[in-house]
Amino acid sequence: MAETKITINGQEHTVPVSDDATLLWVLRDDLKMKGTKYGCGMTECGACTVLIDGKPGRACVTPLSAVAGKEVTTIEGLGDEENPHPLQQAWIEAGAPQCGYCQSGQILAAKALLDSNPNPTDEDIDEAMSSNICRCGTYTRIRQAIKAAAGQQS
Amino acid sequence: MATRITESSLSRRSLLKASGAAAGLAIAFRVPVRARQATPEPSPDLGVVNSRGIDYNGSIVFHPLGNEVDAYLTIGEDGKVTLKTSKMEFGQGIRTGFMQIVAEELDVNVEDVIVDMGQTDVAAPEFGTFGSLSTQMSGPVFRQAAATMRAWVLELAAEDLGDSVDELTIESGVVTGPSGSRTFAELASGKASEREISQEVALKDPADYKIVGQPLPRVDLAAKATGKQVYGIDVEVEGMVYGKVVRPPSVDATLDSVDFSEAESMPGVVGTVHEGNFAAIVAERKDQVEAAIKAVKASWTESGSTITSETIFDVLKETADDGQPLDEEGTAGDPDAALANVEGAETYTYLLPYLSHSPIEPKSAVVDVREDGVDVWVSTQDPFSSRAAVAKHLGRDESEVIVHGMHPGGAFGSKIVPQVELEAATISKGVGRPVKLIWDRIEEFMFGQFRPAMRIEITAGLDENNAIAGWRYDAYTGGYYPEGAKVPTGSASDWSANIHEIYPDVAETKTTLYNGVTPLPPYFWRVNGATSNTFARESTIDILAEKAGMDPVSFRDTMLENNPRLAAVMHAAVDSAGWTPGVGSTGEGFGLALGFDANTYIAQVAKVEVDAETGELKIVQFDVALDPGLAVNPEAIKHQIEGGVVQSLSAVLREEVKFENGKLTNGTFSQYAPILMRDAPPVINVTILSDPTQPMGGIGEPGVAPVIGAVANAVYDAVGARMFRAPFTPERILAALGKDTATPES
Repeated sequence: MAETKITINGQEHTVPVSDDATLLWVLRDDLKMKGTKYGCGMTECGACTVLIDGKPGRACVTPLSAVAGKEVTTIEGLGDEENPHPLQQAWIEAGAPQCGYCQSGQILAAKALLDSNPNPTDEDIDEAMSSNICRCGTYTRIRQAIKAAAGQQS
Repeated sequence: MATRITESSLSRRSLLKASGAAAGLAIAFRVPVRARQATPEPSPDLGVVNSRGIDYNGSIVFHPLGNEVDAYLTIGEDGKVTLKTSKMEFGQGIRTGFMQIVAEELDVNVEDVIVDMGQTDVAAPEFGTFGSLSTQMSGPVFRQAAATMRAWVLELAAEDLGDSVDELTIESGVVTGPSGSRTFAELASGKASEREISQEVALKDPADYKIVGQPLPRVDLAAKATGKQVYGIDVEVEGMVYGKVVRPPSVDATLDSVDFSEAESMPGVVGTVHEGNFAAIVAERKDQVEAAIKAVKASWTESGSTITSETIFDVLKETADDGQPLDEEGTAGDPDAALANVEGAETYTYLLPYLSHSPIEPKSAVVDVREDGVDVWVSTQDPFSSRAAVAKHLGRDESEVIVHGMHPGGAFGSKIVPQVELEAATISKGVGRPVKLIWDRIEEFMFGQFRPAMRIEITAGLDENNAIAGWRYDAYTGGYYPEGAKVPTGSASDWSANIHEIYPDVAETKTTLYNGVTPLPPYFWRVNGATSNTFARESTIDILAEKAGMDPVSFRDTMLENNPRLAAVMHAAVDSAGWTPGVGSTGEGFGLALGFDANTYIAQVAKVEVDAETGELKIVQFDVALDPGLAVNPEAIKHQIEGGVVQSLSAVLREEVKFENGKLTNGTFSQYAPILMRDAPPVINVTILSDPTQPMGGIGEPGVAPVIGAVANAVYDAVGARMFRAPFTPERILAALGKDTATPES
């Protein structure tokens, strides 16, 4: 039986699939990390955003072979309800989520932005967040949350 | 105290037992329910899952509180208060709101109230979660149930302590009197008692509220910010396999033949299903089913529909039925006669496209069909509709089916319709295993339902006093689906069509809704027709204001004398925006629209910038004022209003389902192009004029309806372009400015 090794949130896992398996479904179905969401399967909505060596990537079209030897960060790698990451804390304080389904991807896109640009302008935020769709209309709160988190970091 | 109804005692007891509330104290109450009846004659395909889904066209009949249905508010032996409801949370904040309502009336801490949602074997068949009705309709019942429970625990404590009830106080679930105190846990301990809800028990004076009216953070924020919230798509059960439906190239196609021979031998494939118009393949893993479906060969006969997203607006009028009057009893006037001699009376025609709900979580379900019962896990707005449809579809008794209603990842009306769970049920029955079915994005765009296109014609003019002399309102919507259907599917296109809902004194009005043919299945989308009707009405009011030589606010004031709550929110929104309105197009870019929906009064002022060279429209600011009566959670209300504004702005700026030959030509996110963060207004100010003595109004939908009208009026104020067709693309704005566009409108 095929096996592939991958590193998720700093931990190495061996999964019972060949390396052409899709990262999204391995995360969700083999590793039971369901915070990464399926939205479109064609890179257009951002719900499955994960960080691959710190850069936003789309798990829905990423084969395991593309992350071999790389560090993948999912929403589970940031913080949990008891100890949220500062960005997650900013999200909670801004009351950003509505249905919440897109928010894992939004938070990871924001993390990639702030990691590379700790004090983004409004234009920087719009640009970095322009591939993540929210249908509930929480953009205004997400922007507030990013600014609040950026303020804390600087 | 109400009399017991014998027939319901048994079911109530079994419900109580099933709810795990046998120990402790339970208040039995009744909730508003809706009748589940499919009025149109079933089409031949009904009962077999087909490419367009089934059973969605049952019209909704609202029933008042019944005698036979019971639900419970309980205090367990641990002192926790539990409310079981079939209402669903999907970000509107009703879970938190219900917790506040119960905690307030019962004087417990909010965190000691558990709201258990969506499980059909323990909850009562309340209305589904739509129409901004949850707090409005169930809220008062829960409040009364909690008040009844409060009276009961006071009685028990008085007995226990030897004090009189009026010497006792309750704080944080502890009853205290001169002789000591008792916790709710102590009072419920060792009991297994049940009482009826009492309408005689007095409710708390809203002036004494400490919890209701507080802007509490919604209780699920942390789970949603950490990826821990569980949605329907996240459900996994033992032995589960993945299904995938074989889809036609266009809607309403008929399956002629299907060939699984190549697909069947692919890795992981465990079975296939073919039943009438429905075919599906099943594999162990998601990747495997995705690969296998590509190898399935199917041939279809397509409907050959010739209607397109451009011709639909003529089709709606050409195929219109005789129409249904929407005037209140005895108020229809004769606008044609009234306007016959009015100079400058005109007809204004507004066009609104089909819209897609497109929640980010597509439709998904896990269904396990077994000999001994059926379990359904589905992201749904209405678990009991789901149960009824699955039972009927499988020919099982409803008591054999348990629907585990799951938190939807966005819904907007699309997750009322039982569809994906019926498909998953067919597949599970076929392969004898629990099946997970997740629609992909193409399926989500093409094979669900749509907010129908509308064509609205308003004929109006002013009398010599600059009052409206007559108002003829003809709304055309798509109801007859599929083409050739004899009974229209309701999609609430009539909502807010009657001008008297806003301006009660306009004379000589006549309002008619006509249903025509629609090639795409119509269904509820957010506030349904109210968005379209509000756009048409509020645009025309602005046109008439200018003709009257008045500014939009003063002109509306002349018509709102008998609608003071709406007048109040209008002025609050105008003040919030810092707008001094002028007559006609002032170049300022402000626009106003009013709405009334779900017993909530709302006014919105849009501030826009329009580039007259490129036609680009930018939303700069939104100011909203609303009066929802008793405001349970102002923070949740603000967020709902913000979300409603932003989603509706997406429809203003971009959204338009395009189709020809029965297929969508922009059925992906990149083509449909909902708005992104860069398009959303940086500032949305929400002012709540709350009157705690008034009934609780709905929140989810009122914020959606006025947006298009407010933006249309703002575009006119900015550059003098009157918009009659949504969305307001740069091409359409340039055309409205009388400028040629390089590319013809498509």
